[in-house]
Amino acid sequence: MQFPLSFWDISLWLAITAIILLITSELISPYYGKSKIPINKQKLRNAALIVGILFLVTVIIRVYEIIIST
Amino acid sequence: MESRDVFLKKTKKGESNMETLRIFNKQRNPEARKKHETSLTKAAIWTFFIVGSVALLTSIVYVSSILTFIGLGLVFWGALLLYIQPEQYTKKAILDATVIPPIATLNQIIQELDYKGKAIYLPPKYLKDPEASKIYISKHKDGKLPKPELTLKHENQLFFQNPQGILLTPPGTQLSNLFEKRLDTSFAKTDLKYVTQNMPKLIVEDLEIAENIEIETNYNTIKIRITNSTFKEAHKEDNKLYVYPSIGCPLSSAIACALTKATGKPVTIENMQQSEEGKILEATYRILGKTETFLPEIKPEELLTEPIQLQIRKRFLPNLASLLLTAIGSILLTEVAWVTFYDMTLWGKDIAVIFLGSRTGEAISLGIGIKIIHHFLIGLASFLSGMLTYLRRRSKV
Repeated sequence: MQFPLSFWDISLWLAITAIILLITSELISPYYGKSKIPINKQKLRNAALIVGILFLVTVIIRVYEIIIST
Repeated sequence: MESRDVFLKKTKKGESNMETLRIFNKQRNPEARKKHETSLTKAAIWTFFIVGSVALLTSIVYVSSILTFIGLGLVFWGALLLYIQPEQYTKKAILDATVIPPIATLNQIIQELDYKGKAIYLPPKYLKDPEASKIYISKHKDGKLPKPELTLKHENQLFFQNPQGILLTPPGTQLSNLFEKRLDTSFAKTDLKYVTQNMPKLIVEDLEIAENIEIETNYNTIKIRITNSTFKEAHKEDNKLYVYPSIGCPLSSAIACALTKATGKPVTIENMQQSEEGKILEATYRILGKTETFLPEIKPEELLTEPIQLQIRKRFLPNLASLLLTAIGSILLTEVAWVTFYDMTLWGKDIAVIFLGSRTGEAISLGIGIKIIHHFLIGLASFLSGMLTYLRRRSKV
């Protein structure tokens, strides 16, 4: 039994999730006026930033692997 | 059911109603009848978790990528929904209904007692508890402020005789305490600069009380312009009251409490103006120098003299999300460019084949069914949305 997704599949998934969350957090930001959506906007923004940073970490790992292999 | 049967049985035997009622009530257990209140959100969250976990486990057993993506997505979104649940919200109509009566009562008291003075927000040195807020209203229009020793001695007293006045709790005191709690500090330990820099972010972003707030300081005068406040309906009603221009609404009163604590000097609300539709509220605060009279004598160098705009627009952090989006888009587009260059130079492929062709068995594979065009579109969407949001924020400056 092994996990079906490779590291790069997870990286792509993180990228897409980060994009969705970042765009959503920007659109509902109180900076652009009051929105009536009852969610904790600050926490959504934190989650979006965390996922985005995780994706960037996978990119750094990828770049490191390329540098090591050459 | 059991208790009901007991009740019927007892009455059949001819026992007194009181006795049967006692038995009936004893057998009724409030805890057993406790209703489980489950919200739709919590049900959805748990459904996501359970279905997602099952999908993930199944995907490991059967080695299925699709099930893994489904499971991973469901578990992640379930966790996210749990994390971003807001505090309990109350309808705005309830807020409007509860804010007005206390100020109306205050107004009635002041008018009944014929107190003509302006409300003065007292700094911490006048009070035993530095976290508390009090306002002093003199009996006479040009009455003097009592000495700090007097208020310290009789802080819990309502009326003062020499000088004649009344000591009240302002309507914005609890809101001011909430500000301090959110900022994790006491205004008494800060200064005016801290208040003017942090208040806008707190009111607009953190608590979402208003759409925008602008603070301008000039010598001993502070002008605040609040746009689309949550209390705008209360402003309209309170505006008709005699004490309103002096005491202020909960929000302007809370700001006055913060200013008096931060500056350590008495503060008055000189002027309160509201636009016709009630969307914009402008308040002018005056910081009093000498404690014996109302005449302001503040040294200019103690206060900021230039207008202060919304500082948050110049900070890096609000743009972090848009910059991150741009960064992710740039990385994906760079990866697309690199793969395209690699395939064109090494394998001599046509660009249409590179973008639209399947990558199964290729040296650089992008995952099941994923083509270069997908990465390109995702990268482009991310890059453009990041740039657009960044430029939109900048244009608001």
